[in-house]
Amino acid sequence: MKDRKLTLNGILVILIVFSAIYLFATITAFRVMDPSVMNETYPIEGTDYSIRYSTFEPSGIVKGSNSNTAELVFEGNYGADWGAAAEGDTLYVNAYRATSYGLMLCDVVQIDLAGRKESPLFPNAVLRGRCASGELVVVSGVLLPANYPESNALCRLYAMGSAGLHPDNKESEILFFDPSVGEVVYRIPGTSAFSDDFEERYLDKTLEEVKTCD
Amino acid sequence: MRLIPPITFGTDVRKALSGADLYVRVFQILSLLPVLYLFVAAAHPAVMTSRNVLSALFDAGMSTLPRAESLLLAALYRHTGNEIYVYFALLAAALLLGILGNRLFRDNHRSGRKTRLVFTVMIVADLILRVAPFAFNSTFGLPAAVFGFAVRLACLVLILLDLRADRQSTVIK
Repeated sequence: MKDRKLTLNGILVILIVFSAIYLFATITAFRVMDPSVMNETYPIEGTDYSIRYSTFEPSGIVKGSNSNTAELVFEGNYGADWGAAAEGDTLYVNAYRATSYGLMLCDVVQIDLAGRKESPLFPNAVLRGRCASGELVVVSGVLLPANYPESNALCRLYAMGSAGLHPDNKESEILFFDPSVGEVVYRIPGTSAFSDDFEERYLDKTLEEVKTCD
Repeated sequence: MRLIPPITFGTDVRKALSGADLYVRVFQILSLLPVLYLFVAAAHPAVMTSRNVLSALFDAGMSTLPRAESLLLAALYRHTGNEIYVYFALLAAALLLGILGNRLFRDNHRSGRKTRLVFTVMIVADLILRVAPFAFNSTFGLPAAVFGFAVRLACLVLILLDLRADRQSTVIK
């Protein structure tokens, strides 16, 4: 009988095999046992479109605000909680992506409702709404506070080496995007991406007022 | 005739460990530190909501990996959005280095020397990258960055000692 010694490489092989079983089983079990049940609809300002979150029907952008009669126009995981805006047939919304461990990542996308086409506008950014003069206010280079980015090691790994993304949201920038021109017309580098007075400081004022105060 | 040489998973521990062998083992053991965090967080997501021992180990482990590897892992994570890929990439890299180390350091004197020289250049390049003023160098905090630098510097010294012993033995022959 051969005398075999358990070496570090051997341990690594065993670890790979057993953890494959554990991780896939655990992640699958968590998805299956996800207890959250929801069926909610949030209207998008100035349009007859709404964003639907549902565990019973496909989530996405729907026409109409009645959750029972609304017609699904664009399927996806979009959010109106931080803000959404419409300009003609184009919607500007936050699109959420979840990692397998449940970290929520957010990008600002524009959706052409006529062409039924989604295109990314700002990756790792949050649309906060419109300012008083109509420009969209976007905070770029941020991780959502619900992920606990300052203490979450995975957020730090995600942000590592990424241009303009910092786990402490230190590199965040407030962008004023003019949807009629399709350009960023003003930028404010800052750290107040999710502050309580964000609405008063940026959304309630016109761009000129913001420039004056800045 | 065997075209593919057999893969050796084990190393005879009765032979004295050289600096390069130690480097491989240190690298393998430290690669397991971030794995622990990922392993536990799969079943207990609450681990991710606060600073704790596991996240400190994650930071320390990630900081001791070659900076290029941790950047590649971060890019893999951003691209796939899947932590499980990161987990297996970490383990696969540690295993690959272990197998290569066993083969290159043991099989042939000349290939072992070349490998040590390559490792020396790689570690020096890594140390220079670490002190350069890039934002990613501060991702895991100053204590982890200092720990990572110290471990890699120690590995460099071990391999240089190996190379010196190698040269002296060649001169004596």
